[in-house]
Amino acid sequence: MAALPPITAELRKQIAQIERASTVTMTTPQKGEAVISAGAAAIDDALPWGGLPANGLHEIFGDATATGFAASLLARLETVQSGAPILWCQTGRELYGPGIAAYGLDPNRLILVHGRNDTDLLWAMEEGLAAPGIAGVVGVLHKVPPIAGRRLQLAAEERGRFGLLLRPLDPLARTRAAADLAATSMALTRWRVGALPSEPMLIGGREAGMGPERWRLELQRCRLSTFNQNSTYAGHPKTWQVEWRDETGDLTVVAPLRDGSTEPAERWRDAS
Amino acid sequence: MAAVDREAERRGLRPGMPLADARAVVPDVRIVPLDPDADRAMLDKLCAACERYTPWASVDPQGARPNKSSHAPIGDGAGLWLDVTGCTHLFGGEAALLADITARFTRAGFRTRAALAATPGAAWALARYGGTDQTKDLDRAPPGEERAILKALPVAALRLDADLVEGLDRMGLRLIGDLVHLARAPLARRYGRGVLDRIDQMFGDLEEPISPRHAPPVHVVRRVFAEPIGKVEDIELALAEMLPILSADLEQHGQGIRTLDYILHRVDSSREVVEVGTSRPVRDPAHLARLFHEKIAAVDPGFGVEVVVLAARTVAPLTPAQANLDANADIDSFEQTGAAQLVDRLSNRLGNGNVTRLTAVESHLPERACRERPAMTAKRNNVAWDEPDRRPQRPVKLLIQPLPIDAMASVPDGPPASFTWRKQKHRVVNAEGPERIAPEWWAHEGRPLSRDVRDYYRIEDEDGRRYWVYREGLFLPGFEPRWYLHGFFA
Repeated sequence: MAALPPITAELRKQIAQIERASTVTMTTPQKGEAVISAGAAAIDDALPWGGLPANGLHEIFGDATATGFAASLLARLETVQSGAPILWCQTGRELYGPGIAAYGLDPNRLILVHGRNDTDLLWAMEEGLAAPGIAGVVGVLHKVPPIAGRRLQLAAEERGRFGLLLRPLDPLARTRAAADLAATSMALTRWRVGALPSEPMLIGGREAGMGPERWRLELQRCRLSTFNQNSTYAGHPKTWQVEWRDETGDLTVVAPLRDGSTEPAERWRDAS
Repeated sequence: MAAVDREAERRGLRPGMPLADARAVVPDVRIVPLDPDADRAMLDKLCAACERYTPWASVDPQGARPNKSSHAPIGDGAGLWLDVTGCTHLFGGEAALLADITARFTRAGFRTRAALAATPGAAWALARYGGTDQTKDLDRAPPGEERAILKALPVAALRLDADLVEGLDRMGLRLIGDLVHLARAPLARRYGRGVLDRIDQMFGDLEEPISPRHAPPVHVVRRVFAEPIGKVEDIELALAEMLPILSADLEQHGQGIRTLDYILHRVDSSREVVEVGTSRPVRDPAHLARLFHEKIAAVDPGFGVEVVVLAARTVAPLTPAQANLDANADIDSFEQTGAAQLVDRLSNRLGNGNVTRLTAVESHLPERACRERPAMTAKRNNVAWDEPDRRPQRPVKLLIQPLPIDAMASVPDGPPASFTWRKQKHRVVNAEGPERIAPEWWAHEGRPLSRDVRDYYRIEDEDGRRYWVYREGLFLPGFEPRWYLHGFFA
């Protein structure tokens, strides 16, 4: 691990005190801190923590694929905090148990909260993050006011809970979606997940049905960029093409794109 | 005429008289139309007022019926039952209790007769037929002489139908004492079982339970303020003071709260009830206070609150939890205190139906295979979710109401080649299916089954997004199947 110059470390500490942010965001991650794998070693290596810290807030933009990605992350959370229930806050009622079970998340562990509005959901999320005996909290929110986001992040960090903001992108409100994407947030990481055309499954050289689902996984923001355990500089925005592996419950990177490269915006039509 | 007051009675009016006759006797008689609903409501109110004497109070709508027998009842109105077992000492004895009741009713403008006896039947009889002294407002049968006094009452005091009383009267059976000495079997055969039952109920040989107006809460804490309080903070402060007392009481009995009422009596004798429920028995004052905190903010103290009552409506056994020795025991994780307390807090603010858990249901219909049940009451069921390795593919989001879509299929029986959803055309590049799901025939009626058979396809559009669509119905002459969008895959 590359050591920071003392003056940098000192300044970071001061900023941390000013911002009331603690070890997770501003300093180099410690070994042994609970970390959730993003699904593939290549992605984990690009994160300064070697994965997603289990004590922090993360943000995922996207449609149904984001739900799948979130479910797989929460399933891996089980290895960190086994058995404890997960709070899932949303306004709709279309989350389907058998579907999320396919991503390894036991639906029995979910407590679903249906709020009338975002205020209810944010309140429920904060209560959930502060409550003992809850492993993680998910909130499906269109809008997250900056102060609310900051409160959630602080609550997640203080209590060592995993917080997840699922941000649906409404294709009918393209401009607002763009504004949401540009807005800053207090989350440790921000992801954007979208579907990509899959490769058909081949058995004996012949097509045999649909292949595994393929996602485009984009790390858009990361609160910390520093050297990770492998002494590589991590925390930059980066994009991967991944495929869901049903058997192992993780992802394989199928065709790594060059760092920072983006596809034409037209490819990014999202549906909820 | 249904009822007459004391003055009218003095001037010769009787219940049951035609109105014209009454007008002839007393020309200036004031008539009030009969309103049974209002009467009943009033009676219920009086009953609530009587809950100050005993929690075991109930309305007895049955008045004495006017009959042509020689014995007219002293009073013929409906009544109230009060089971004062174990309560009399609080008011200085039985006589004092009766005096207090009649005094209060008289002050409120009611003419009452109160009687105290060992059985409801006897009390009813004494209140309406007891004694000849009509000015005496209360009656108490001395313990040893009760039987003798009751035997001297007319048969109408047995709460029998008027025809029956008349029939008995014709046979010369005018007093209860006459009936008691008769052989029971012929009496039952001649007049039915009812007569014997009433006699037995009167003398305590047959149990006659009184069901109280409200099931009396067992664990109650009450506070009366010298000055009415008007601030919400004070109402909450009173609650914080009362909760530990209730909690200690519950602990002594090994009970925990399931539903708890905080009843506020305002100065203008209206009341407000704040209710909280819990998912498992609780008696931790801090937790209960948090549950109330959300709701008390919405309370309107009005002109001030003078009495507050904290009443545990439903309780359940709560014994100190023992640490789990066997780590592999099948303990539901939601039974953990932290999660349960969170569920309570969320449910009390957002409503029971809005804090739910997913439960698997044994059904092959996709919309029925997964149900949401309130997290407060949901029990773990043993239906397993589909095993990931053998599962048929299911979407992560399922639309509650399948959306009709316009789909084009290259062959009628095949998957769609393209479909239009939200005014956008999606070209299908990849499809898998069909998975045929037939309706549950045992729950299916009306339309022929072949119209509701669904053929599900997993399809992928050119952007790689996956949808779950189905075609409803089979291709039959004169029937065009329809396409629906039912869910989204990740």
